Amino acid sequence: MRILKWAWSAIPAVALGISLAANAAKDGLDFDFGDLKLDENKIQQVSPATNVSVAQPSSTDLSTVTVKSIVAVKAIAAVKQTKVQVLGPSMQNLDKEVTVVVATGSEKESWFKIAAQDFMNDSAVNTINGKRIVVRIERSGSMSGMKAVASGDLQNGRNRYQAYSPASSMLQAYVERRYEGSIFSTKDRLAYSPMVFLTRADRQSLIEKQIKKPMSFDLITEAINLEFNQNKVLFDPSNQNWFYVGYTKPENSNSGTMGLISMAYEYYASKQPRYSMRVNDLQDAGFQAYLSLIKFNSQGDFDTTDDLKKIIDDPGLTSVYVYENTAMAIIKKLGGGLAIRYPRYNMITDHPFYVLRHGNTEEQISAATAFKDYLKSPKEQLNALKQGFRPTESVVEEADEEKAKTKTTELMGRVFGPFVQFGLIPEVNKAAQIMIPAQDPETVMQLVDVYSNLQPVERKQ
Amino acid sequence: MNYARSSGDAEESIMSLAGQTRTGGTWVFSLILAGLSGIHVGASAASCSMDPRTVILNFAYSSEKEGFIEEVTKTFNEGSNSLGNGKKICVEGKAMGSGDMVSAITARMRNNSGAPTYDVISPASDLYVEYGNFQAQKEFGKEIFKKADFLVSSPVVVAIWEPSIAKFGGKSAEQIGWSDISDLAVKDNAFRFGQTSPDRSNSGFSALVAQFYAGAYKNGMSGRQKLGLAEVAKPEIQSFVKDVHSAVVHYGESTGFYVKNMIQGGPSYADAIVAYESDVIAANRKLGSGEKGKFPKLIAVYPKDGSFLANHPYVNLQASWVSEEQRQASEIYLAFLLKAEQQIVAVKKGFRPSSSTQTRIELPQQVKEMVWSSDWGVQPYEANHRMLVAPTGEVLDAVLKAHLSTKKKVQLTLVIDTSGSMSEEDPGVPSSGWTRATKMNGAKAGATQIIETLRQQDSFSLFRFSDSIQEIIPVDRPAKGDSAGLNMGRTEIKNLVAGGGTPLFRAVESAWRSNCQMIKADPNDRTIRIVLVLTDGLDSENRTGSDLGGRIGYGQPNLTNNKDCKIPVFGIVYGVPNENLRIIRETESASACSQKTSEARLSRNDNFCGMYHSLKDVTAATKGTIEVGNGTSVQAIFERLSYFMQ
Repeated sequence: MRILKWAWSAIPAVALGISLAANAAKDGLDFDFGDLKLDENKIQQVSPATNVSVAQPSSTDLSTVTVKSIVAVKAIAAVKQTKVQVLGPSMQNLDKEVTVVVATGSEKESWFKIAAQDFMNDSAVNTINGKRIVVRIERSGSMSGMKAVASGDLQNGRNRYQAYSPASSMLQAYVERRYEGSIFSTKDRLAYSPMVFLTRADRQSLIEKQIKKPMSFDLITEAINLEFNQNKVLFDPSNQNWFYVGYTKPENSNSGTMGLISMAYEYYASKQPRYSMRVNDLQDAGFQAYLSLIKFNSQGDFDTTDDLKKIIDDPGLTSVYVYENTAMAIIKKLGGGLAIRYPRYNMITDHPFYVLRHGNTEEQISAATAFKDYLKSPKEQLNALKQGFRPTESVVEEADEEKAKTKTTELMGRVFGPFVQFGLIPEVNKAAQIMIPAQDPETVMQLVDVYSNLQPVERKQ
Repeated sequence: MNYARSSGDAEESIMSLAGQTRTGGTWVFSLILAGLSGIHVGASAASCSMDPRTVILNFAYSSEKEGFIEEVTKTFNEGSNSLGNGKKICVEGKAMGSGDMVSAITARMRNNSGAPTYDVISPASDLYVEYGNFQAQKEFGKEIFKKADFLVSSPVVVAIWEPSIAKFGGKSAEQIGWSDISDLAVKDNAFRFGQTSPDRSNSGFSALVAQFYAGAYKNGMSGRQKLGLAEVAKPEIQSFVKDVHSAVVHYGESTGFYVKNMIQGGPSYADAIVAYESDVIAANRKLGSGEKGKFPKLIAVYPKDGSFLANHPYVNLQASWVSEEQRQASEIYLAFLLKAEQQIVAVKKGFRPSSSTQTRIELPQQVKEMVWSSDWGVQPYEANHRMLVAPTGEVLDAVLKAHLSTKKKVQLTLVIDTSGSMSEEDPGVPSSGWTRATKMNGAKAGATQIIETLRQQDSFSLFRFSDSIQEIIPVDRPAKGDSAGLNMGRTEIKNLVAGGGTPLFRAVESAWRSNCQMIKADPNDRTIRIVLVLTDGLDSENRTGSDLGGRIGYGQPNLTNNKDCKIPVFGIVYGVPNENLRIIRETESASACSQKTSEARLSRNDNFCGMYHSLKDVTAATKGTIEVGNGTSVQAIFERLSYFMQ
């Protein structure tokens, strides 16, 4: 099954022949497709994405919008003062098997499940102290998982999770500051993936023709403003659908939080290069009007990044802000008609794997660490690559480091190459014009809170 | 094939919801309560054994994909699908309205006990997931519903009989929107529109939100804007929606059942109903076979001012009753549903394949042309339609609340049997203290309970019948659903005394005619009129059946007579032995009583089958106006009461 799903470039396509007529329903009203054969792996070829020549970006004119009331930034003193004592590792594990529950975001769920199955079947690694290791993967929004870890709640004296692997380490310090002692026993990075805008190709082309800016939240603001002021669909060749960008809830999901940081950064960075977010900036009326304009004119309420694949069949969505590997999966599904664009101000996810000390036994910690090591093995790094992640380690068993690097690069080319025509940039360091520097995690939390409480933007008469 | 729980389980569910213990007899009252609680309990046949080596996954899914889910689940259950520990997985499916499944789960969470419910669900779209999570967050401080993937998709459309398109003043199907439906509903009293109840079914909910959007656009909201609380609260926008709903025939329970009625009743049932694109394809396939030419073609109108895509999420529950084994079983079942073999079953039934990235089916051009063809009343697969953006859970909540004020008024006519047999004790209910559990007391309690569900703007009238028929609260001067009206109703019901014969058919006819006269006297009055009969048995004047249908004008083909008076008649029967209830549950059709021999019909001792046939005549008489048509079980009638009353 894995081969069918993922070995797209490396394995020849497997045609799936189905005798459809034999399955006809008893009432005889179903369509009869005869002996039609469906190819699950076929990819439609589309013409390469247009190269865009853009003028220097300038900020969108927001003088026509305002917010009625300003959301005040909440003090976070309580967060700093109330610390949780790390409990563990100390408890005895009396069970016959050692369970490792890993909380992770939807973007890695599929990879982790495959890896967990492989791990549990691999006799070289699947036991500890003679006990079988059981690995269970639980989908959890990166933000909600982080909040669960940060709260330190234990159930019956045990932690619900033994490991937590969010999409990025941007809030790592926030969790660490919540604890008295070291909560994480490991913080290894598993893979990389930049953020991208994935947009319907015909609409992307119209946007680029009409608004000469690189794809960014600033461009999106301008597109919204133009359509609003003219009360006319401007960026859909069929004149049916308004320009709507989709992203996940910043309160729950890592990609949504990254989007929110990008929005904030873009607003200030054009005036202040190497900007660092400050509390006072979050309370600025113009900034909140800008944020509100995006919030109430977008679909920013998806639960998980995986849900953004709704763009596949919902023409109401013009563009989605997703991980690069999610964009690849959607393109693979649709076969074409979509364009990848890297935001002018961008962030790269680093997918850390945190083994939690709090409320876990020594055996659980060792077992979770063994699974982490397994995820970094060439076999699982190759699986990650097949799912569109950029590996942190070599994907081939090769003693010679140079040879391993060369082969890894070659395999990466085979995976990423076919997506170049859709706008993918193979060199990760070129995946943005400007990389957003790390921001203070507590200020990020305050930004999320401000965003959650924004009032709808009003138009000045 | 039905994958629902065994009938015994279903009964237990009802009883615990109704908060009563029952050994027989007053099951009807319990059923009313269950219906009013929004719980649909259909007749069922067990398919999964209660073997400890089997993990049963209870799966509730939206009714329009019943054919698809039934077919593939049968394959799944017959296959060798098992967990790592060797336990076999068996899926028990249940088709129902999307709102109902979300309500059932929320109710179970609230009570933290009670009726068994579902372990995984698939509503028709994520609107209800958003709404359900909004409610859960408010009530329980956490979200319950977690989307795992999407099974199939289909846009919400308005299915209009081809000749009825002409009513839109020369506009083509592509030019019609909610705005046109609103205009037509106001200017043409003969225009009949249908949609499911927004709080029970996704298509009705989607349509309602789209209608609010359209009303907001018409009243100056930029098309660019998302629907917000301010728009939902505006009187002029609510008035727009109210205009659309003034043409509503009745609110259906689920899209699947509504569509079945549309193709059984034809154009005289309704000119247009809200359905899914897949329903239109399937309906035209059906209309084009067997009874070809009986009715015209249905045309899918993709409202030009916007609609929603039903994307059929597969939703796991964050609930304590879902075991780890069931979670694993759910994953395996989902992977199965997303495989090409299952997806193609859906496509053959007119659904668009899943948007899941876990499966890829590239439909060949000839398949797209074969299914998405004007022959089946739909636009090409690749045609672009205006799709709306889902508002927040808070706005969806406000839309549902506003719906209460936009919904049409209801006038309920209670027809209560006060014949001598109603004074008999209900065999299944033990008397307590000085109160005898008679059928009469049961009917009084039931009638009181029902009027108390009315809104202030609704009204009710009251008939009693024994040797004579008496109109206690007249149809032309009904009591209101306010406190004064309810007090009067409670008193009149309390004063009823049993004694005399059972002129059931005459009483029904009398109540029906009174309502019909009111309709004819004021064709502009769009009140939904319902007749509800509470009785224990056979008509004493005509025990072999009646020509009631013919007399009140619904016995004619295509409902040619009295087309202005389509008044649904429901019945509630008292004093039914459990055994008969079981028989009907298991067969879900008239056949149980028919096969019990014609003598059984005539036997005074076999009240249930006698009553069944009496009610069958009544429901046959109103064929085409209600969701319970000829040949449907009596139980189904009870279940369908609630959506009229809400």
